[in-house]
Amino acid sequence: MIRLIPRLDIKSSHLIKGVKLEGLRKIGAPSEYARKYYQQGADELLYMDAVASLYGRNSLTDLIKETVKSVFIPITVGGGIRSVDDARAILRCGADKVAINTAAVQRPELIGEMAHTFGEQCVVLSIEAIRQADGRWLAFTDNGREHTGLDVVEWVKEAVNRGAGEILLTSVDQEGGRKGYDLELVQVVSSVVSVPVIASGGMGQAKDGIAAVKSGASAVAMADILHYERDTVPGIRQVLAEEGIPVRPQASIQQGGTE
Amino acid sequence: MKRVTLIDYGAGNLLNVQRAFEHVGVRVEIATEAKQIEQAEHLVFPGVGAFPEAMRRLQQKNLIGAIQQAAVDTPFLGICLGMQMMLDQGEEFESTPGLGLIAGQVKALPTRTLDGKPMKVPHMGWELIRSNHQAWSSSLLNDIPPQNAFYFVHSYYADVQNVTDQLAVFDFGGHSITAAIQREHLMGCQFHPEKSGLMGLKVIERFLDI
Repeated sequence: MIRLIPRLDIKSSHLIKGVKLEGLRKIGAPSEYARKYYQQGADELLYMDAVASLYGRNSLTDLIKETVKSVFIPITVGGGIRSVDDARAILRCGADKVAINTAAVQRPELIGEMAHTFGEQCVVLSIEAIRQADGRWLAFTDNGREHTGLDVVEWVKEAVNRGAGEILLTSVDQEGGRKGYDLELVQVVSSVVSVPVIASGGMGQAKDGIAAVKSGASAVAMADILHYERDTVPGIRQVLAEEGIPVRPQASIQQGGTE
Repeated sequence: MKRVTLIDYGAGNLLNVQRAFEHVGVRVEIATEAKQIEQAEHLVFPGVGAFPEAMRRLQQKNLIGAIQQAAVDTPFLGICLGMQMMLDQGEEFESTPGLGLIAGQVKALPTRTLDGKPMKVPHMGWELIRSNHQAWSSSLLNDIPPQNAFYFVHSYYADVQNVTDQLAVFDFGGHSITAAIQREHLMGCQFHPEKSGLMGLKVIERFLDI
């Protein structure tokens, strides 16, 4: 089934939203939004510490612990995770998967170490892709500010070979723009790797999700569209379901399906 | 208040399972010793990681006998690797004896669909589960409608010997893979009820009523 994943970018305990991962605006308390999306029937949640790389550590442990008391779906956490020990600390708080970007770029062996320790399904490679004039995409870190010189397509292939179990594919160009995902990017990346690709960045309306799935995405990350209540998880789910895309049945989400 | 005993043998994170049981309003006791297992009213046996390593840990902590003894009459729920360990034998890395509560073997998931296309393992995601040879009424899945979805993360599966023990299956590239098992008070689920939203919480609540 295709997964619908609300993405919550967090800065100093606030849920924030930017455009192209910058110009961040405060929206509210992340745990409240997390609970709301869980109740709406999100299939998974994504917590990204937006400033972690500035401080070199992830500051979401308290938030994760709070969230797992009342949210019973998988949670992926990214931002500032630099080592197997960092990942273990995050998982011990109740997270199910960790997303890594900067640390994997600096030391690709970390991907294999984490996969060996926690299993491949636990390791999400986060990519911040920016389209270049020559039509290629290069991978960036630190919210699209730091250049790595890595070609996205080559980098995902290598990362998957090393044990990445999933790709969080954020188009910095499209992020916050509400004009849809970078479909070409989704198509190219999902055609070169066998692991699930989460399309991220640019969902303006529910039908953008359909396009991402048709381009090969196994999951769609959604932020702005939900945070600003332009649509809801069940609203988006219905649009996908009507298109024949396999999603969790709505009946299995509301009151456990008995009402 | 009902009481549930969670077996902690150092294989994987218990926190999420504990939270889910607490959420439905039961007192959770963490058992690290045989004595605590013997006194359990409901036993939950979670597990994350590899079969041989998990069995070794159980052995080191001297818990195998206590679990087998308690399983004679205590309602028992194995989750994910915990369910797989209820079987006779695991084939992960090396052949390892399991707890032998349910006849069968633990095998690697097929890597190809029935018509030969490659499948991604570990299998991770939401699946619809359906009844196979056993009806769900008065079982662990009594309250689960045909339109359902549960969250799975695994690379191995339970190949149960008696089809009557196979309570539910899901479709994996045309293969019917065990999603849940039950024989009387012995139950197990391959999916994670603690990560399957309201539907998962229903399974947890139902287990407590058995």
